[in-house]
Amino acid sequence: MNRPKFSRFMLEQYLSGELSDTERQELEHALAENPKLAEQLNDLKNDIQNFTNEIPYSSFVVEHEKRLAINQQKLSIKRLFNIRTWWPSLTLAASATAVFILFVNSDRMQNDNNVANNGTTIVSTDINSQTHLKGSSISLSAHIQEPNKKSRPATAGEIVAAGTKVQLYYNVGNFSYMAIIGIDGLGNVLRYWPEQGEQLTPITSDISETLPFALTLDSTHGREEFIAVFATQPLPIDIILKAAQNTLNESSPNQARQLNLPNDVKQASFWLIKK
Amino acid sequence: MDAAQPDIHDLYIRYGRAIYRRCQYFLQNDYEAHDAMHEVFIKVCEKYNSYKGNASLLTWVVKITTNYCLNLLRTKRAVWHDRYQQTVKVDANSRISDTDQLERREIIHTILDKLEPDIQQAAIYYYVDEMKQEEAAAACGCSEPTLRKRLQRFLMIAQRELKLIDSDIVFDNLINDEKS
Repeated sequence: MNRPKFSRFMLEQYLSGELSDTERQELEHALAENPKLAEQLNDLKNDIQNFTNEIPYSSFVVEHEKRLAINQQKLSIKRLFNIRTWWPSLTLAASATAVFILFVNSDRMQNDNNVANNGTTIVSTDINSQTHLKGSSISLSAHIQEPNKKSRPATAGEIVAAGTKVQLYYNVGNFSYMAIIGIDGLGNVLRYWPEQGEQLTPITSDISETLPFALTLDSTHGREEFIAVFATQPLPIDIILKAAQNTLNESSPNQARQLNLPNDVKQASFWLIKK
Repeated sequence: MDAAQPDIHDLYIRYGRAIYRRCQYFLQNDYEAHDAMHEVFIKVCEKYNSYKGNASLLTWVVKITTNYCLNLLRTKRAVWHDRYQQTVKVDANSRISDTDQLERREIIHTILDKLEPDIQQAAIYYYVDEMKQEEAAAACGCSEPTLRKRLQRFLMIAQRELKLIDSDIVFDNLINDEKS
């Protein structure tokens, strides 16, 4: 796996005018003496031309403007939603961690391919497309899809019906790793995200995302909390699950569970109630 | 207060191809690559004011593209329980003629799924994008010695995985300091 002295990346930097004077002179000298390198540069130039022919700026910018507008719209909605959901939690979170709990009635599932560990149905989300928004604070929130297929932000502690689809949103803040777990009405500790692996999943900081699937609630009575845990390191998930187990006898129905985790690990939760 | 907006035409002309080709490389699907390119441009616009000039603009844009595509691949794997395909399809129309370069890109693509995220990024920046160690370290947000350790670990994992496929494969395990 030998590396060329003048890499393709360097050629790209050369064409975009990002090489230092010394590097540029060295490269130009090499180009004059090395036909293979000159051919590579020519190939790169041709590829740039091919690309601009394939996807001309005029067609790119139309789509770009459209997506930008949608993104701005989502940002506005998200800001409004964040203000609403964060308001009650601000008084609770001296550490700037927003805590909500999601009570979810879960039905035990029929379709093996679409069943989460606790039986809550996982479906491809059609509630809301993913959002990618900057944010400095962590949070976990949810949208609910109503029978008319329209979605709306859920409020903490809201009463919901069986069959309701719930889409979880999370704000990563400055953290790099996260996991989402649940505690159902029967006191089972459940793992939602990541679905595989032994550690918290890496995530890009300063964004808001949705889980890539929605949860369809079943008719099981009881309380289920969804807790997002954020860390700066790839913490083992077992630690989170055990911390959740340890809270089972401590939490009262009207309080968010506080997992006993290292100080630099933060959590955010959301909850719904179903009767 | 509205932040300054980038000149999207200039960005597209200078970096559009680089973004799109990298999306193609990761996603192996033109439609998804096209969609990903647009999402990357949205991110570039969002984050443009946070660009500090520590690395070249190309390095910064490539970093955003790589992070986006790797996140997308992780999400897809998790949703569908479908481990990333380890069979690498080399584009018949690929304009890259250098065999070594193709080999590197193929090897990394083949074992991408086996790598930890920080190792993934280091290997991609260094071997696929062919950044210098200094640039790759800046893109990874780590020091050059740390980058070399990650590359060393990549080689170890690559060797282990590829020995399963081809027991005769030979590796040069040394990651030298480019400045020495």
